[in-house]
Amino acid sequence: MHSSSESECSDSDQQLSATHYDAKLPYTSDICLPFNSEKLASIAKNSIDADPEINPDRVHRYLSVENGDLIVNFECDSLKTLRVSINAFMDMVILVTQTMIHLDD
Amino acid sequence: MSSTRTVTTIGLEGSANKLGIGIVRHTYDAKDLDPWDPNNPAEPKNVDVLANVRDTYNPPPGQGFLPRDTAAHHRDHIIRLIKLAFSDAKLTHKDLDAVAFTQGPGMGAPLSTVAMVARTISQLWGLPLIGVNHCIGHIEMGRAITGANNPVVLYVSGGNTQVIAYSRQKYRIFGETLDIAIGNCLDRFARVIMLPNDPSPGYNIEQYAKRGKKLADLPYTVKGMDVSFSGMLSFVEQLAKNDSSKRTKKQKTRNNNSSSSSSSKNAGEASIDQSSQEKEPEYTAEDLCFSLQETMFAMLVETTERAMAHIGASEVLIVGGVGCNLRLQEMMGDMAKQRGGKVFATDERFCIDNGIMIAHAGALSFATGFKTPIDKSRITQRFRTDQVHVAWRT
Repeated sequence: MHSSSESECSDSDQQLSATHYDAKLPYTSDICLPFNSEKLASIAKNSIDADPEINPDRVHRYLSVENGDLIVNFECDSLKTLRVSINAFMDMVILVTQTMIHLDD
Repeated sequence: MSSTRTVTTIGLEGSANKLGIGIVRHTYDAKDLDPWDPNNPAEPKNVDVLANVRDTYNPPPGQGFLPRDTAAHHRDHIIRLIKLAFSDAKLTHKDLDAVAFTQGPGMGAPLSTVAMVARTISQLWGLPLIGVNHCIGHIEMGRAITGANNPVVLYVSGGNTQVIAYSRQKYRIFGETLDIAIGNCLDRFARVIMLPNDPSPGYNIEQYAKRGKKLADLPYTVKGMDVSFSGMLSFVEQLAKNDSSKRTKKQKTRNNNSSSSSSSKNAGEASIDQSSQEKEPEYTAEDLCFSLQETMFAMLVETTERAMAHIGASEVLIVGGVGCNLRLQEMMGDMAKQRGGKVFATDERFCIDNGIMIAHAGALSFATGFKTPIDKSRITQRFRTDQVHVAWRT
């Protein structure tokens, strides 16, 4: 639930990109978002992961949780779809974290 | 007195431009639920509405609501509305038994936004999640409020137009629109004549229609049990456009005539214009709203009556946003009366999309043991009324 810090997750970034690399989807981005707890990060992952990306042949989105970090890895067919996907994802993360802040005990 | 059991549910609805949160409490005889018998399903003894709050996204006149903007509206207001619902109900989440949300049908982005929050709170609060079909929500809410027992259901809203009857644990679709929904047709016509979207385009058309006098001959399209509205929309749009272009043309010619020494060409145009007006009857916006309503509602009355004759029902239940149109209720009432039956309808609190209906329908299926696991809670834009197993009715 804090702002993302790239350095914390740099080693996992490379692993993710290496495992999922697809030649048709060359534009990739990895984002790491630290949450207060493993549980909250998992809740966020489950909430977001239930609805798949709308264009599965143009965007691959992989979510995972590691040590309380929500890690997302995008692979897209163009810079535009990458930008749009990250935007949509950020809107979802903000909504989920706002819900946690305001509606959790 | 036998012991009772209550089920309290929060419902989140956001399949279109309304964002609604409702909290409902169902009271059952304990023996009806425990153990629950699928061969003898129970409906609650009491349905108490504890909170019903709504916020509608209204774009400016002449514009429809786009998925992206509507989703942004829902994101901005959903947390505030959930808090408001709890304070209205004087409850906290600890009093709840389940979280219900609209899984479909509807617009993707708004549905997904609301589902995201539903999933998050269900996990935070450790409550089961219940995915609800929006149409089933409308039907069950209408039944609960009006007490209609086994009616033919006319479901009319911005996204749906269906004639439905219950049979063997399914709500079966007898007839529906072949193209656009009735509410969509009304909304789009309201845009053409620049009626405001506040409180709703359909409401404003209804007010205009009250002042309409001349009935335009619009294409009446009933095909078997199905209806079609898109042809009528194009036709009436054309009438409205001709009308307004004629009016501006007339004004322009008049201005030209008065400001400059009128050229013979202008004068000629004006006379042609006037003569064509005399031939074709001219309709005001009020006349067109009136004609549109009368023709569309007549089509619905016809198909509904045929469904009633088919299954031998005498009751009609009107649900959905267009269902709060009093003229539709009146026309349907006349038909039902002639058949020795009656029409049931609800007011805007329950007709127009709301969270209560989702909480209510969710609670009904929850009482039968239904749950939606998070990883199966994906929203679906197409989710037919007859896909739902109605386990709570015999």
